[in-house]
Amino acid sequence: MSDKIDKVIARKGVVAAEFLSSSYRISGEVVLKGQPVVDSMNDKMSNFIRAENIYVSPISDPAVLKAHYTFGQLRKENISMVVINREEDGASRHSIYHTQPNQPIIFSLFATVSGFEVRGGLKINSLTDVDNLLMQSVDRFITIYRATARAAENQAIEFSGGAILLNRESVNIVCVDKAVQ
Amino acid sequence: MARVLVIDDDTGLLQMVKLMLEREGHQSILAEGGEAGIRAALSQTPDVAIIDLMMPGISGYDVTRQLRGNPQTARMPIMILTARSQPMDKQMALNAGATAYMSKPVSSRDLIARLAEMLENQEHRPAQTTQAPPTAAAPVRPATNPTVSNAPAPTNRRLPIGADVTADAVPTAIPQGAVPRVKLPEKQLPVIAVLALRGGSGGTTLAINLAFTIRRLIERVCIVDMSMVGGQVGLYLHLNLRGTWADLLPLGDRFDARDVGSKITPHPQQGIGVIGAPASPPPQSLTAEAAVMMFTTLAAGFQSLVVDVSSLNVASMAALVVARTVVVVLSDDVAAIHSNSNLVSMLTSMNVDMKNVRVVVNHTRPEPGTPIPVIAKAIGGAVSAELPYDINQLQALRRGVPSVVMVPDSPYALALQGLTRLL
Repeated sequence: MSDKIDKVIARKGVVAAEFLSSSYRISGEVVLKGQPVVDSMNDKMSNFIRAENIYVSPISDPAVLKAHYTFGQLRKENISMVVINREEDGASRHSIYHTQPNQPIIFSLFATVSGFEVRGGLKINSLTDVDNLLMQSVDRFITIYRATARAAENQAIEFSGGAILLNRESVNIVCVDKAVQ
Repeated sequence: MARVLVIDDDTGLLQMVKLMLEREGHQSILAEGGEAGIRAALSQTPDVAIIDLMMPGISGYDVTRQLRGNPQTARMPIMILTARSQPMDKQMALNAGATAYMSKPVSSRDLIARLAEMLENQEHRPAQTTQAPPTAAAPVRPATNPTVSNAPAPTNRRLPIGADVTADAVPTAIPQGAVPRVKLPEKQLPVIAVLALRGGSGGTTLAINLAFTIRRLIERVCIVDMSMVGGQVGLYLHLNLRGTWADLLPLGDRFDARDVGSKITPHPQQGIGVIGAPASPPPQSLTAEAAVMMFTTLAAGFQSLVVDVSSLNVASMAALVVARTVVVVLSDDVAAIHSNSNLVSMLTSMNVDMKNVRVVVNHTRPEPGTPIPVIAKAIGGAVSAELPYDINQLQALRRGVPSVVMVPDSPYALALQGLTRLL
């Protein structure tokens, strides 16, 4: 009975996300329109992604709310990471490396991206897949699960979430290892 | 049933929360946006408020600050419910005066459970504050003024940030037969004993941060965790302990510097050593003689020994007796003050020289607690120092780095520097 009333308090059909660029933290909501956030980010038909209820903070002082806008368009190639609260919201429907959200993390990943150190897990079945995903995938953003991004020069600035979508074109170094279960 | 004020700019979400609250028998007061929320809080005196952070106009941070700054709502529990869920957001919200913090999306079950917890904690507080009528002369952050002997002790209270995990039984007096006979060493030992008579006072946190503050001034400092079992010092610093004081038990009081030295775990920060407490209960504590011998041996290699006394046994009582300074730490809640009401007689019965005792009040919660004069009156002695609430403790625990090292210019770190000068 209690499960039946266990409704989730959130706007329906939207996912809250943190978009990190080299200078700004932009908190907003992405209207899903039937596809997961990662697939919207990898949709090559548009260079921008629309977000609603946007709050802007400088990356150097990320808790401070500098400005609010009802909606905005964010240029995907300038976004280095997208932080999402829930793991299941990071899963793709279209990627050939699509995995079930409940699949365990097989590989652990470390990457440096725009002044951040990112740690998390990949749900990919084999090392061959990992190489393909990182080097040859046509998708710009890859999903790192249970991830944390920490500013290299100020370790107190830390973003974590069920998933971080990592812009491969912003990556400097990426290292992968078999995850310790 | 409680009157719950919900402040959010999303009308759909307001309605959803309203339905959920009413299903649980609560009465909801809805306010769309920060300004409407502040007006509703002042005119309808709710029991608790749920506030979104990200709202156009006045943000949830500002709403919380304004409510905390008004005597009428200063003590009202405030839950921040937001999609901004990063640690720095939580810290900023708590700093603004929030009581609790939850991230969206949240399940109704979790929200209701947290709400119930907040209300229960509020009920166990001194009654005078929550429904106090507004008065022009009231201070901005009114302090509770409980009569210590009559005030109800909080029950089922969550451990505050910075508090010790273990709570030992609270002694009110030490039977004369249980007091160890301690032969004072010829030379005064550089021991600072940090005594917390009640779990949750932040004694271990203070001992560790004090040691690292002292280390800024001198070359070598050792932290000794005198807990009987499951001490928190190693856990706090994320250390794999090389040894504990219990490893000296088979040696009786016949051990030398090499035996003690092999039990010291070096901290990565040069000049800090740790002797931990055993993970499982040993058959007995060290004898008073063995404890004094351990301190004497350590004093040969360290210029200062900070001893964490979070439980009273023969060895830890010996530490109190030989200490150059005894720092008694208590939090500002009624139960902690009540626990320390026999402090002077208890320490005197243990042959502790009261000239060496310094009482420190540690604010373990963001909201204002019992005023210092009331605490001083209740314990029958002066309060030497006051430590502000430290918002960095949670992060410090997670990282295994003392707060004073992580944020050396925080109010907590600066207060500890002041305490160190006093000692």
